[in-house]
Amino acid sequence: MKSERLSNLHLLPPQATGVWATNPLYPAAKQVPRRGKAALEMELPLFWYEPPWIRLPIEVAGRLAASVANLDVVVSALRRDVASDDEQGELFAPIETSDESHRSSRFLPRMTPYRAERYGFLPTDFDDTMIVDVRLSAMPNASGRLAYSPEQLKRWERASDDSPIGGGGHVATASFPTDVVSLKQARIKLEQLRQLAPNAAVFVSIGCYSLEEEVSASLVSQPDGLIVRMDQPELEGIQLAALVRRTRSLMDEAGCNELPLWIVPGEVSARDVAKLIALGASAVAIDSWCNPLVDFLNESLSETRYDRSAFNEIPALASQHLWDDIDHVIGLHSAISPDATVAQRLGTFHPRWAKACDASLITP
Amino acid sequence: MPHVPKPTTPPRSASPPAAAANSAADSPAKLPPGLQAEAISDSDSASGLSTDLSHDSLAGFDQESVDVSAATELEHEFSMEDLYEAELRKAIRSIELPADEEKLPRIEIRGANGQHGALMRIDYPVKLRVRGSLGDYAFAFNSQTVVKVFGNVGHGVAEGMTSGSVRIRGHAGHGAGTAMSGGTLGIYGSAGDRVGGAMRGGGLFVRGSVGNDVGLGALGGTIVIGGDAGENLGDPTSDIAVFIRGKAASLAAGVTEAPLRKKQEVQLGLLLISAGIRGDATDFRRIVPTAKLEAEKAARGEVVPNWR
Repeated sequence: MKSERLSNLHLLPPQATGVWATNPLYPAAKQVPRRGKAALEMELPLFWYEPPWIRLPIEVAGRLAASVANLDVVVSALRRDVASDDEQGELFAPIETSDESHRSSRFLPRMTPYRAERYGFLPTDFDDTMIVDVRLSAMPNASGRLAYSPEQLKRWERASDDSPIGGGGHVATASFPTDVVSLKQARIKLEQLRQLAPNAAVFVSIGCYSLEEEVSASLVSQPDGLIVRMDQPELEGIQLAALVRRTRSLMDEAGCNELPLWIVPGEVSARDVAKLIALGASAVAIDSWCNPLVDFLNESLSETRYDRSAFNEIPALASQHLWDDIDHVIGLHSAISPDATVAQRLGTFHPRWAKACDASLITP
Repeated sequence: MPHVPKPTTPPRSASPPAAAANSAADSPAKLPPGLQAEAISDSDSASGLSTDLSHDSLAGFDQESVDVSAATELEHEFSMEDLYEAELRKAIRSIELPADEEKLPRIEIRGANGQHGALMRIDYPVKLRVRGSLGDYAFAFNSQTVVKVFGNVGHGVAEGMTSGSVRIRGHAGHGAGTAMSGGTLGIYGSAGDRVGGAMRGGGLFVRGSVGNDVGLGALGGTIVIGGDAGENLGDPTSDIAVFIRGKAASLAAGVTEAPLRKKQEVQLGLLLISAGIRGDATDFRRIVPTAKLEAEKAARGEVVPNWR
């Protein structure tokens, strides 16, 4: 049982009326609108934002990435994270289908991190991706450094043991792309990426500590969606809820109420995911559900010699580990009316929570 | 202070021609306000580019181009004013390649007028000659294609290039060669800030001067600066080889100047010949992380991969 961070918020059922009526079951599938292009279909409002691929051998990482994506979770990866140079990689292969007309035209849901430094990035990372994620905020790695580890750079740049990257030390992350001179000019960068990845939506990722400035500045660049990182462990549930609400309000004020807002919340339960969607998120990162799979595989499979049967069972393992929670999200999501206000969707017994995120104050 | 480039024409979109006017209106400034005062005058830029063949870089540029300058030798010609970017790419890729892989088809591109995102990821072994100036991110993710531009380019030219070559007879904006991992980018005028930022390989030379933060976040490759550099030249965590002939306003912390080693003189000499730049490799100094230099000295000049 995952701990709940938003337990003080209650998903409100429809109010009882005098007339007998069935409640519609709202689908979890959504569309991602794009500027001047057809909207993209997204089966689930879930994504894996920052998988620690470096902790797994490439082949295992590739199998796990494809297995999670097969569950309709959008998975973030560069080709060099999860595929060797001489193989296509499971995550990037067309979905096999009996329908000849759709063969080689459907792919697993994937998002491509377009970091400021572009280390490890290949031109083919643009191909058939669903989302290009332009990351404008530098975040510390697992060690707390604002840097990439030597192991990470070795994988991305395919460096040999006798010629390590950057002299064998950590290499600092950047906070802004060197070829973008301002957030206004970033609009041209985003247009460039739309040309390079014509089938994708182009999102911008930002942090949550300067929302007022960064949301409005990011929207100037006219992205197809916004991703906000709120996965700092210091954030309490009420702060998370307030930040999501505030972000959506800022987007509404800027006239971007239809723009997708994807949230990276850190540790969450299935109910938390549904509540974040009720607060205004369009999709929620489930790294806290997926990362334990990496821990498990890391412990059970040795890099040099692992049990092949265990490798083959990764899809089943991923499904077994994730499906109950995913299904719970689908169920809870089906009761969230897209047309209702936050106060109609969520209630709380705590005045602080009600004030923080516009939920209805329930009086016992 | 380094010479800072300025495009000749307002940039506009390379996508649908109909959208071009809007784009031009939305992005009037190519350089930060503080830098514009030092930008070159219009008379110096693209349309007015000097054709003085005594100038070393331009001599090299034109000498290499002379075989294709005659109209009778042109094999194909396309206009950016008639084709959308995707159509242009498709048209170029549809050209039949000769059996002799050494002889690349030659294509003249006309109608270049500050379009953004032009001629990206062609990924086809042809020679392109572009008449006029282009906007931001021209030739991004180039591979195989050999390009010459008779004009200026905006920011992020040849971003992410993996192979082939891109030569710009005019000036370039900020972030030239960002994240390139192979191939050669030559700028025969001057370039703005962050040249070779996050560069991962390949060769980048600028005949003129460059702005601040050159080589920022670069992991590998070679940067040659024929003129002066601005603030914070080099990167203490970088493995790139930076060579400079002029002066740097300042070096990044943890970086120092050092004379070239014999092997580097040969390497640089070949690069200068390839770029058509007259001059002696010994005129250049190299910019190197202090830790790397100390490791080299401790190992008596041997290559030391783990120097951090």
